[in-house]
Amino acid sequence: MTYKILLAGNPNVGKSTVFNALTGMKQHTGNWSGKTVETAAGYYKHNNNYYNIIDLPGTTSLCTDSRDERAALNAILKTDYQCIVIVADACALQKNLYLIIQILEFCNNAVLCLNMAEQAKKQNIIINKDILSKELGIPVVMTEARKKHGLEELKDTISSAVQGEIKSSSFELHYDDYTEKHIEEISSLLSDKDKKRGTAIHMIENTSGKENDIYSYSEDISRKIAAERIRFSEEVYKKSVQTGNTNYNKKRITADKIICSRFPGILIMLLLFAFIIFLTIIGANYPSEWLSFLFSELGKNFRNILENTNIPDNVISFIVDGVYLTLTTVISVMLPPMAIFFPLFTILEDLGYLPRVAFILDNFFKKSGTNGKQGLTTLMGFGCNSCGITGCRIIGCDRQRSIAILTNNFVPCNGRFPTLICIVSIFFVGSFPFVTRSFISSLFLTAIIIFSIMISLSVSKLLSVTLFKTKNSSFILELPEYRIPQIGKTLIRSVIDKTAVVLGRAVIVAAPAGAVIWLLTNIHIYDKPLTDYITSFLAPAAQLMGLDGVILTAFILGFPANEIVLPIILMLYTSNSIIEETGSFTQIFDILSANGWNIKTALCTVLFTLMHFPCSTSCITVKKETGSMKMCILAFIIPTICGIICCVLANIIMSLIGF
Amino acid sequence: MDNKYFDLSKLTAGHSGIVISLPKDRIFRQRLLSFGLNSGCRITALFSAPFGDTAAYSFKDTVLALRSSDSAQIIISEDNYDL
Repeated sequence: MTYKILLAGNPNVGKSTVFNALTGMKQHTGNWSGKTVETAAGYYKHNNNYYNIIDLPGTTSLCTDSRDERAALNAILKTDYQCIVIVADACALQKNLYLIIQILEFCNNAVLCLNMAEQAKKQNIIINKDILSKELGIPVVMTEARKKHGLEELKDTISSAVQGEIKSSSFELHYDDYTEKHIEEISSLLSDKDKKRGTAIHMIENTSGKENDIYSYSEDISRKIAAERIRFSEEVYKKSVQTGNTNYNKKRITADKIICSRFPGILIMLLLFAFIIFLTIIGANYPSEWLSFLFSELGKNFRNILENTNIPDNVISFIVDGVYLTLTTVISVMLPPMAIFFPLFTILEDLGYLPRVAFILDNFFKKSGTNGKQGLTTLMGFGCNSCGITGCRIIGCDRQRSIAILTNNFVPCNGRFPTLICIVSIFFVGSFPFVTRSFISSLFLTAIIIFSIMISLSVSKLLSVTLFKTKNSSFILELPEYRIPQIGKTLIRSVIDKTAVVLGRAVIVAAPAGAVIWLLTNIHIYDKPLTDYITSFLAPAAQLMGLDGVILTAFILGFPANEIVLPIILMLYTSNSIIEETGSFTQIFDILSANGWNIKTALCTVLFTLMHFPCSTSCITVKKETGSMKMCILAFIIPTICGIICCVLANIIMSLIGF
Repeated sequence: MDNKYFDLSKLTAGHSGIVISLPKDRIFRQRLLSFGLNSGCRITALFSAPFGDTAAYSFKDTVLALRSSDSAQIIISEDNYDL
């Protein structure tokens, strides 16, 4: 037989860990509410039965206006399931009871999975399973999902529950007479026997205090309902939990007082992220070179094989120098930085440090019409814009999330750093004494980064007062317990997932792009390659922007990956028909200046690098995350328009100064 | 014990209070309630964000960060009596 199970619970309780442990699936977990937004599904087999599990997003309740809670509530109301497994944190049971009570109002056939049971024991929190089970009317199972303890018992209990073998007493929390009367009133209008009471209560809560609703109840009712739930949770907690440890919060708070302070808190944060970005850029160089080398050797063999067949030379070149070369270039430049950045960031995430970052940065983003969580997604964007966009799931408010998604591309991702570093080193740093050059380079780069953040904030502000006006909504950020990050299998698995997704999306576009690039550079009309026509066509517009036709063409052809923009520029200048390894800075300088580059060109190129349409991977990600073509188009247009405006302005100013 | 009523945003770090009333905004209020923050609950101000405005508060087993415009909607009475 097949049964369907819903997995619900507060954020941060290890719900996804339980899910992974039961199903063996690779769903990434993170110590950060909002990580699971799409309801993930998996299954396991137990005693010849199949159990389909749907992992709902973690929520603190079921009645507020966030995306997560709507998704969870919808699942509970509309899915046809046999049992809800509520996962709770044994170390924070009282807090979790609010949601537990709400869920029990909808569904009596539930199992309470008290996760992190062993950690609770360590903290001297003693939970009497039987009393708790009696109070709530449902079976209780203790687990430590990280260590895979208690899972067999959980599976057995679930199986008994779905087969009706457990007589769970009907849980009913009685409210005061006035409230109960209204619940009765509405219940009698509903048809779904099982969920009548829960639905009625939910409707009352949701409409209480709203002015324009037909069934508008006074604010009082929802407050009374909530108060009664809180009172009941406290009562249940007192009866079933003995804790000798009333101050376990203290450790966390002491740590936070340092981590969130002006000094050294801000310094720690800046150093940490500078370190991560630095490590990513430098650390990725070697693997990139090895991959390049590996692919080029493979490419030679590939070409040999093809040459031994009857395939014409042109087609061989198309396949090897066009599709294969672009594809492998994109992989060898995109993969290593991701393989470094993602694990580092994931560790911070699992640790629970990221909400503290949102806390520190919140004020900046409040002034831009959004909130501190956007600070986080922006930081993620430095690693990979596509990652930053996915990360926007943690922003509960839809409008603010849209703003964060649309402005993420203003910060340069890893793919753009090499281009920026190259141009800065060649054109801006040259006039400084040799010894100081690295240092000056870093200064310029820092200035560029700060500039990109400022633009991101300004455009966010603009969007928040025009297209995405948000009423001043309240912002609550929970600072959860710190947890030891799960280094090892789970980390590797999650990183592979993320990297695979991003790389996969890049590859889908890189292969055809490679084909297009090859065709454009190799098809000649009247002795000139197609690219010549394109660059001439774009030249007037480009010159207005302080660029030239080649640069603009390169940006367009660099749509699959920002990393290939500079190589394409060099390829077009040297009339090569294939993308080659970029040489030393001196060689690059020679090629560029021979083609009319000066400081103005360099500046405008830097500006356009920062502000232009997102790469194909990001565009696909926007579409997938928002489900909206309109958002995807906006994500494409907004940075581009900003880039064009800035470049034109820079061009005018620089020309006036005399460049 | 001082029984003046004032809003949470004015509670200084290290001091505690008892919640008297919650915000009028339905969604905000329900969210706070779902964390267990209700009238009669003891709340302590911990520290504020380095760049200003937002501050962290602890109550029961939760630590929440709230902006001053939001915490201003929660009325408390100061109560530093240490349990």
